[in-house]
Amino acid sequence: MKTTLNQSLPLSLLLAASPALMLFSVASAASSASRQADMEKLPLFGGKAASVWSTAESDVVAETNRVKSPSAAMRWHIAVDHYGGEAKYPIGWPRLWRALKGAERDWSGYDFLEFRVFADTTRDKLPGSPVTLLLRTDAAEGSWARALTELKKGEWVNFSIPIAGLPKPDAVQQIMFSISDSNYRHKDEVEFSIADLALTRWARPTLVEFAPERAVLFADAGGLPVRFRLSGLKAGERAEIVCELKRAGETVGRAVLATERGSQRLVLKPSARPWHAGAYELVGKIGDGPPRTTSVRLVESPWTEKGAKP
Amino acid sequence: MQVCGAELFFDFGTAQSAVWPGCTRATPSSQFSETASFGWRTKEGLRAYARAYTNTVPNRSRGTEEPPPIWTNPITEDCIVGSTSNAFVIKAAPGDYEVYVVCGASEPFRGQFFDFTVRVGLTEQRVQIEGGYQFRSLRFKTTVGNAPLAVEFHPRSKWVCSAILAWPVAQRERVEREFLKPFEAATWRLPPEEWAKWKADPEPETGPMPPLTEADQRRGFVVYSRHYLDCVYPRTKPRAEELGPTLRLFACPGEFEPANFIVLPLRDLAGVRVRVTDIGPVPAGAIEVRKVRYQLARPNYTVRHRYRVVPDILERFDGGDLVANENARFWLTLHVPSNAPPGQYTGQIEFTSASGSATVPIQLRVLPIHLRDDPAKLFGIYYRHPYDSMAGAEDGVSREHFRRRADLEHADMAAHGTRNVTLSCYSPPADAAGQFKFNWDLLAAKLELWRQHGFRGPVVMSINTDGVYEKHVKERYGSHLRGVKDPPEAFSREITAMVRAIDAERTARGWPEFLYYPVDEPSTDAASVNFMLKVLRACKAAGVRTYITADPTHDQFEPLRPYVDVWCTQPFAPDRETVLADSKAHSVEYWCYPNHVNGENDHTPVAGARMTYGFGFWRSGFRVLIPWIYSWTVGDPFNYLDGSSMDFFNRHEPDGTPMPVAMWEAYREGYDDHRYLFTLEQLIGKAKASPRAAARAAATTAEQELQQVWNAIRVQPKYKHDDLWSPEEFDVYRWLVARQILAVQEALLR
Repeated sequence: MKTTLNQSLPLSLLLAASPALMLFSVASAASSASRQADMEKLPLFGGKAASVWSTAESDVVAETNRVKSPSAAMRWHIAVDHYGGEAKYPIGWPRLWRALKGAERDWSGYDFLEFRVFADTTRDKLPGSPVTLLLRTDAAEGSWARALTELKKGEWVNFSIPIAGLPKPDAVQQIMFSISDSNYRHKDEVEFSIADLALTRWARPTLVEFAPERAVLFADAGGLPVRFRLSGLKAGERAEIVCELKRAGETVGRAVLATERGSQRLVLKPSARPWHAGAYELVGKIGDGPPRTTSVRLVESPWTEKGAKP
Repeated sequence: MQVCGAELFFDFGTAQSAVWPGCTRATPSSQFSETASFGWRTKEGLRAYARAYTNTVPNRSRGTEEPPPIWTNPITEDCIVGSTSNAFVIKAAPGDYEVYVVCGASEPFRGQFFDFTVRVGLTEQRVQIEGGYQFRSLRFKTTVGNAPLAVEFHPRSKWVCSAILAWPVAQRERVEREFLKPFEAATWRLPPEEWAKWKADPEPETGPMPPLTEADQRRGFVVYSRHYLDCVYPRTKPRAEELGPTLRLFACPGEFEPANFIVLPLRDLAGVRVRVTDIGPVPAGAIEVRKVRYQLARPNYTVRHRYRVVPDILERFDGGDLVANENARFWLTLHVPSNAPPGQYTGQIEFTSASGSATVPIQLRVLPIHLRDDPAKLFGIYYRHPYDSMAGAEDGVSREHFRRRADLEHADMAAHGTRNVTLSCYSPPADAAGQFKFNWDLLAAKLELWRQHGFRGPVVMSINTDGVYEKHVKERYGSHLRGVKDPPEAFSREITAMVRAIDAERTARGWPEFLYYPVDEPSTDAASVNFMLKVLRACKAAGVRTYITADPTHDQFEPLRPYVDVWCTQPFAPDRETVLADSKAHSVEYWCYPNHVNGENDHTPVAGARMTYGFGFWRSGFRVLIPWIYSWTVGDPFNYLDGSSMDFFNRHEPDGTPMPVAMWEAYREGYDDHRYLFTLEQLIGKAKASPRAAARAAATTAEQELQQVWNAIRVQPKYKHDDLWSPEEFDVYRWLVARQILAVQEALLR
């Protein structure tokens, strides 16, 4: 069965209508409220057009009960049938999918795929793997899948999937939700309300996924590798990140890197004196923006420990 | 293809089997004589075999068409086997020749170990091949005078040969180009038409090459090190901070510990040697030097037509040449003697080549800790027992080979902390008198080996459920009980009788407890669950415990719960709290078979393997780890692209000596992590009960540190690649535990 719901805006239109993209200023990955304000969004479910979402062994309709705006959500209903599946999937593989075309396929300029899901079922609770998100790409491995195991019966759950983790984010061909009938009992009924499905990105230079490669390390390791992803920059633009290791307010290691968007790595080295065991703060920031801070523990190594013999 | 010197190219086989273009057919009837230009010295004891694999083959169990075990070509599809000394004689014009001998068979030859010597002139080479589906090539140089050229075969068991080719030395380049290159690609990779369908996945991205010193440029290579849990691919570039490394290790007496360094040749390097000095109490002889071998591997078990190059097998390295721009990772395993005194020690690795050398310093701290095994936990593994091949062997040499291989593998498992393997106890269905025919001697031999190597029970014992089912339903069921039907009551009664018979023998012989394992990985469909209900109930009726490879979080398996004593699941699922509560309430056990870190679908989650075996296992609440499998081979054991599925995990040398893969070494490191944790837990318990205040205080501090380690674990059902600790963190967390062990030990003595 194929059900028509709506169509999202073409990416090219959205880009043309987004002057904010041209701005270059500083933002932080702070609270979720300010996060929403700092994010640009490309809806993948606009609620207007036809022939976009397809289903198999299930039905989909616009969600009108659980969200304020029905144009932003759909309700996918499955009556589990272990005997009525397709010949190729004898137990059953109910699924809901949408093909992406043209510029929509290029997700590489975005940071997250975001959506929220409300699950309901005739069962007491959902099975361990209630539904899977599957993205088909041009990558050699073909598709990327993530089981949405966080879902709970009767609750909305927000998802934010980092685009950087996809195998080929510049060539996403299809987005699909599917369940495996074998995870359910015959005649179970389950439905998922999927809302606010969209690609999002930081509108201003933002330090994301900032973390030391090692939260604990030997004090005499010689350096601390730090990984981060820089977002909110357009191709060719650069921003300067300052990274410092501090102990009790004193900076014991500092590195500055002017770099483009994307995943980056740098190694912090001791500034003047060797590092000693103890609790440290790793701080990263762009320009005069608010810092990202995380803790690091340095441990006296087995090869320098006092009293070790000979 | 027409090649030069065709009169000296012989393809062995039957009168009907294919012949490589340009070769001359030779069969067991081809006898040498005054009038014949080639042939065998004697026809006695010769037998030809032919089995071509040039198309897919049906798999009835799965209901699919699959690739054959190997892809053959006219040379490899057939062979001649002899059991006595013989020679293939060729009349050749006087001169200098090169001789190329292809040994191997496309038959399975499951119980056969070919062990023989091939002699050409004064030169001889030993060949050892276990079974079929694999081929070796030998090269000789010889001078032919007035006497004909003779290639002699001298068997210890039997010999096998597929082809002999000889050419005047002047024609070497042309033969290499026109015959050897295409033949070897077709035999050890894939035939050209099949290979054309396969595409390579790119290597993981790597950073830029750091600036190199003049000394590096001059000697033609760069030396660096990266943690062994991090895979290094042929084109991985070093990071600046990894250059010029010092290897640092800490270990306890009796412990094995890995270390590695990588040489990136800037040009071809000849005459490479690696020498390691003594490191304090660790003699150089207790340090294995291996080189990581890259393999073409599928991205998943049965995926076809896609491959990637992965670091995999740790091959013994006794010297050789290195190829330009391809990382050569040298993997060292130090075995600290059990009487090694604690302290700080140093040593070094000396790497030499024709164009230069390098020295890599090693620091080792030996800790005064006796690591303890947790008696409540068990580390096991699925196993294809060589004794089954031994039972089918026709000669003493083959029997001894399989016996020795089993012994070496058991010793290898014990050295990696694994002291439990799955076994089987098969009999045909009961005869008219209700009697079974078990091979008790075979099972007794396996359990004796088990005992000799200090293995621990219970034993997961598979039984011939399928055979009994076939007797009563007149057909077999498929993989995962595909197509299974509701069996009659007589089936259940016979399963009960079979299990009773096995368990009576077990009791009489004083063997460890058996966990009865009637079906592997039943599916969740209703017919499968109904069948499992009957078969498990039938096993339980014999008064034994049962074992099932199924995920109890699937609702469909709910009816099975009263009849299951051990749930074995691939992930650490359910979670710890559920596992502990269910174990306490219903006396069930949860075991884990973490195939995601065994190579079934990925040869590279080395860090995931250590996490699964150590800190992850400690955190999980599960009782046993029992992955599938110690070694899995379909077709040629060193060709991961042939056969219906990928080969994975440990390999063995021609003589049966185990060859580890990196993940197997990571299992041991995880097992050691677990021993550090258990040792500390034991000492904390002892210190808390101590009358000494210092000991109790040390216990409190240690408990807090242990809790921090516990909290740092990012709990996952499957530890593979994502969201793991960095490789270096594993060692720091182990050290945090070790340091507390030292502190508590000292406080207890103070």
